[in-house]
Amino acid sequence: MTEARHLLAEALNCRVEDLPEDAAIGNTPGWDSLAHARVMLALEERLDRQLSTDEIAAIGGLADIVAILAAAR
Amino acid sequence: MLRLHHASAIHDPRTGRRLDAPAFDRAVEERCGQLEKAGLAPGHTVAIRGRGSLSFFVDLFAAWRRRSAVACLSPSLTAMEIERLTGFVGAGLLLDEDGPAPVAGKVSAAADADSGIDRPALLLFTSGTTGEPKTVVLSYRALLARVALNAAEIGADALASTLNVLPVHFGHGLIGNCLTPLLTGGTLYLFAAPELAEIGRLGMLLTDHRIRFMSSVPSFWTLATRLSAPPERPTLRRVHVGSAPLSTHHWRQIVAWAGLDAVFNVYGITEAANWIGGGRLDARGATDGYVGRMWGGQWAVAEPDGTPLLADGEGEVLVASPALMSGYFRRPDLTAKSLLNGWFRTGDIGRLDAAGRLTITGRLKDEINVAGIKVHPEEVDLLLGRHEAVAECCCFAEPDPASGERVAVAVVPAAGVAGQVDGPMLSAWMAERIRRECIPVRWYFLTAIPRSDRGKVNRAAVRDFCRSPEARGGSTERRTP
Repeated sequence: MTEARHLLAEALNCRVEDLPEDAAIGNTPGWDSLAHARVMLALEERLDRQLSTDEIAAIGGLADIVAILAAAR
Repeated sequence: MLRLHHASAIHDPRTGRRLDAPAFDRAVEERCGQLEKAGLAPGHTVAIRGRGSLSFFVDLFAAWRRRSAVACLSPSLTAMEIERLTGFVGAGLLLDEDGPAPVAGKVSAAADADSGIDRPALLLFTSGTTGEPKTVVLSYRALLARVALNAAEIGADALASTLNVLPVHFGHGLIGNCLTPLLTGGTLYLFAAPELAEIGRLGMLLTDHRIRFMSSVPSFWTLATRLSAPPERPTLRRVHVGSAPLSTHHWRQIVAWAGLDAVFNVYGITEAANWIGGGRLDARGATDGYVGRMWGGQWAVAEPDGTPLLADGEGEVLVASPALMSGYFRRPDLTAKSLLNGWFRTGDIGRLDAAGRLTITGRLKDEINVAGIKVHPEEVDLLLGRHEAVAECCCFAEPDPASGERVAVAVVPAAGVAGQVDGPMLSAWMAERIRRECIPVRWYFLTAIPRSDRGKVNRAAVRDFCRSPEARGGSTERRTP
């Protein structure tokens, strides 16, 4: 969770503690297409692989980032 | 006066609304009457803020029919920025595509009802919402010249069905992508500022509307090529990518996705009404920064003594074009500096081969290119320097995999507040005063800004210090250069 929060906070340029647990595209200011690209590229760097189209499309909120990182462990 | 070509049409795929030229003309005429009642007189300047919806274009052509100059405002401007910019250009009216009615401006320009082709048609802001605004004035002559040259290069076949995904407050989206088809008989499909889910449906949209031509910025394609399936049928005839550097690796991805060799890396500058040339990846010698040949006019590179070289050389890129700006609004000092014996100095560095084909290799100016939107670091410094917790600051560009470059800043906190100030706090303060793309996404807190032996601040040197191993990871730490 911590790693996902840091990754998202960096992409959105906000404090980690300001991110709500349910942070998602529709309810988080600044989560636009550019921020989404930052999330996607940051995840790919951490995972050292390209995300599939389905994986990228499924990223709708913090919980999805947590799930992708957890699945890689 | 500019009118839609009689064979043109505008289509909004989001709403299904479509206006052919006669219907658009009627909407413009009706809007003209409203603007007249609101006090818009010939020669006045009107500011239009919008994302590029159908009503934006109705407002634009209505203002032109009223013989007004139009200042295009970014939708991301703050209220303070809007007040400053509209005041600077003396906009008598502010039209907002999301707003119900025209809003009267505080300052009305002196009426100049000149109907000549050299009067101002567009005012495009390139910087200066905190300092002295830098505003490019484009005449009707410049616009018509650019559109004619674009149409000659692109061709009516491709322009017949054009998609716009770009913002319309700058030349790339407005002049290149939208006005070119609208003034030459094409149909324009409005899809500006697509959301993520919409980008994911790009291929389907291209197929459904048989889109033949579109332009965008590299960061758009970063997502589009990954989120959307390619079009089911090979509809595209030509694609432009511009406003930011495009690597050959990314270029190849776009070519593969579009199933098309005619993907052009285009070079454009607002001062020349945007696109001035472009090149294809399959051209001999194409590499990162390759922008091919010029589409009408002449480009050159300056030798150290300023002499223009038309081939075989490297230096600052100079441009001579019939679409050049009239000058910077109320800034004769800047206008004079930008012109060199009839050549416009772009501030970009390029290499010309023996055939006169250009490759952009760097730039002289400090400008930060965030996904195609230009940010002037001086503007950020000026604003941030006003915060009581900031003793000194220096803004600079950092590489960013998503947007090409991002805005970063080194900050020296004011005495007594070190440890109590951070990036998010300053970001929140800035968000009320400046558009979002100017807000730094990386903050380095230092005890002093690095200076040269002569006491000068060099942005590249500040960036290098901040990114050095001793400073890396210390975005909230105090560092002494």
